[in-house]
Amino acid sequence: MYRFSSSIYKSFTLNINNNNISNYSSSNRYSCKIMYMLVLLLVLLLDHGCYAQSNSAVSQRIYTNVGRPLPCSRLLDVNGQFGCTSKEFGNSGLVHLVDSDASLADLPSHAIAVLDANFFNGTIVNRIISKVEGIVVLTDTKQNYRYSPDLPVPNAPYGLYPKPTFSFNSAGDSLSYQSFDKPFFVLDKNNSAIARSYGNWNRDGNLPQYGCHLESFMHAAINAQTCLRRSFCVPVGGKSSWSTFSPEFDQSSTIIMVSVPLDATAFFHDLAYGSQTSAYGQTVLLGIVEALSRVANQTSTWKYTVIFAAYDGERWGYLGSTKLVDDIINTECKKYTSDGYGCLDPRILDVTFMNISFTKIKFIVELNQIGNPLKVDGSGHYVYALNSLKSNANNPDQQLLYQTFADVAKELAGKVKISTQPVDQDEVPEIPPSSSMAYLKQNPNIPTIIVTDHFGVYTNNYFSSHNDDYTNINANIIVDAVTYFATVIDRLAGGNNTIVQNSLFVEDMLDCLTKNFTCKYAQQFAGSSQPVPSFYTSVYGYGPDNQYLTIQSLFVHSVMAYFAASNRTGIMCDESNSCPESAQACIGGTCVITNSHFHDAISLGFTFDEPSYSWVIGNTSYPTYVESNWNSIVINFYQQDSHTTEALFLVFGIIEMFVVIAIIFVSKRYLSKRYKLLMGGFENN
Amino acid sequence: MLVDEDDKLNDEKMRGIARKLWIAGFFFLPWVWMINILFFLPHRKVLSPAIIWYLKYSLIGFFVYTGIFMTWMGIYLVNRNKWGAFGDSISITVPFG
Repeated sequence: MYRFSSSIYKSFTLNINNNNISNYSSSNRYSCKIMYMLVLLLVLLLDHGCYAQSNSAVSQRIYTNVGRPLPCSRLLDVNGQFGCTSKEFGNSGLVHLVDSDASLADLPSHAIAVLDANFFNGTIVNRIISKVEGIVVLTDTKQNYRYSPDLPVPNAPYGLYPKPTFSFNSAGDSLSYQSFDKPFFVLDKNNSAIARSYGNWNRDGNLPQYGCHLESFMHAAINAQTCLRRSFCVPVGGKSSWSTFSPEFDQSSTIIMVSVPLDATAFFHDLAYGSQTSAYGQTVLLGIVEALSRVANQTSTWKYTVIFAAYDGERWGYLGSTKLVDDIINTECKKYTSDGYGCLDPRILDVTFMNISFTKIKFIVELNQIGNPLKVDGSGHYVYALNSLKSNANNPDQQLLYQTFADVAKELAGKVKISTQPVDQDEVPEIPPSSSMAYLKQNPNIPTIIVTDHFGVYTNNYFSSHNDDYTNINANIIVDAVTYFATVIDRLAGGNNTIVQNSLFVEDMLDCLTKNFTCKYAQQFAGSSQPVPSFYTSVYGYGPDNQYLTIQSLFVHSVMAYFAASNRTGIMCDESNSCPESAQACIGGTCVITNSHFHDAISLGFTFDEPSYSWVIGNTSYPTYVESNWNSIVINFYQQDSHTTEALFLVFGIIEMFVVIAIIFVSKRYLSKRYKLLMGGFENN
Repeated sequence: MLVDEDDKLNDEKMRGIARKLWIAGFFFLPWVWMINILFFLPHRKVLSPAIIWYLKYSLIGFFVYTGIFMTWMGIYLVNRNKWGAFGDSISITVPFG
């Protein structure tokens, strides 16, 4: 007992070391100590902001953490910022469920508005944003009206038309391009149901009430040049991929480009499913590559080299396609590496793209937004729209391109439920936002067809929204679509092969890319453990030697590379190193020889400054989108009692503290008198 | 042991400490001036006028310096974004946001 108390005493004396210098009374001494303790306590409290450390035992008792928080993050460009940020230590408030006009009208100040799917749109958000502490969006029910948070003409400033006149995305209200200094989060299905029950509990006036703490503080602010200078942000970008069946080709080879956009976006980047916008097209492209890979000696029956490309970063000003086109046209290598595969000056890892001659591109076929054609012709065929530049209508090759699509539709009429029709260029004077614009900007005479599911205005009800999921597509016709487009590509390339369907592969692949990214292909080709695929392009990386590869980019690249391989050796492998020959790549667990390549998708507006190891903005006529850094993203719920109870807790807590101090004080004095010898002995140590 | 050291704490020694801390504070360390005060607070009844002189000017120094520092901090935080690259370059760690 004594030892215990003395050790406490010792620790006090060490702090203040006032033992022997004094002729003042002991009570004075003790009050001094208490004062010091209080100051110390105050400093500690101020330091921690009265805030429980996350993951501490206390924090776990107070908060119910949402496992995978899905925030709205902040993006910037040279003109300013958009997206969302919380305060530095987050925003908190009581949960208020908004699921009816009445509950919207009742919304109190400083609450966290929990919005039912139908109440998440620009109009409502702008009406309530100044009043609330933050917004949580539920996904347990479906939005039952047409809504897109993207621009009415997506990517308008970086497209083909400086002043576009046709609003393809008529449902767009540009919410994603607004800046909010409040946190926004979306909840997955299960957590949505929980949050909804909290909201209902609060509405019924039960105690304790549920509160919500949202933390998504973004480091970057003001604009892209400011945050790049402060290294608080990183350029948006990614990795495009391209593949060809031809083991070798050169500048004299005539090229057919078959492409899809690889990325999609959404107000909440983690839920950029883009099923109709991107994922469906990707599935069709992968299906085409798989189907053509089963055609015997396809490259020898073809006259032309077919390049399959998936462009990343397309939602942010056509980053992938613009970069590839610019590199094809402008790259000059002064010194190649010894194996001829890369370039030393300028430093390029893989120079195969230099074999593509821009002037030798014969056709461009782009599968843009093809997830859900609504038009059905008289014989029950789903009709895809074919878009091209009006100015190119008299080009014989452009007419040949149209003719091939029509011929194949006729040829397969009995086999597949797919047909195509050109878009009426008087009604829709402009081509829809598409990767091909990057090519047409350089040369508007390249025969091009952009395949879409919409004739004019998007039929996609949820473009760039998290609602563009697997329910937003027509999965029944995808196998037919693959057969049809694969046949078109074969005919364009000069072949006359019969395409055999592999419906199992196509359906599994669609399932992978729209619903369940833990599927067997995702495991085999990308080692994915991500529950749902999100096609947000994410950031390019901190520097050219420190790049970021998203799992969906890797997946699409690997599948393309695997099926476009000229030789699948059957040798099992783990990494590229474990393949016996350097020409072989390890794709999907097998060593293959494939003519498949990644290509940077980064804006030409950025240059990398080696000395400061940072990105700088060079040319502002190109996109300058950057994404902010952040430290912690947290959403959790807690319980909060009435103000009376809280006040009582505080008062009793303070009383308790003083009582304890008094007990220690009194017992110390008593003990030091009662056991004077022992205490004195210690003090004179 | 600290306790042993304290045995020998006499006026001359205390004056030395007060003077050293007073001088140290001039190196842009106002907290040292504050520590000077806090250290001698328990001994306040036995201090000689010489020590009190150091403590007095430590306290004044602390408030003056802190005042100037806080004012500058306010000016910087309000205007740093307006000052652009210059605003960032005069700071060792740039505040977020």
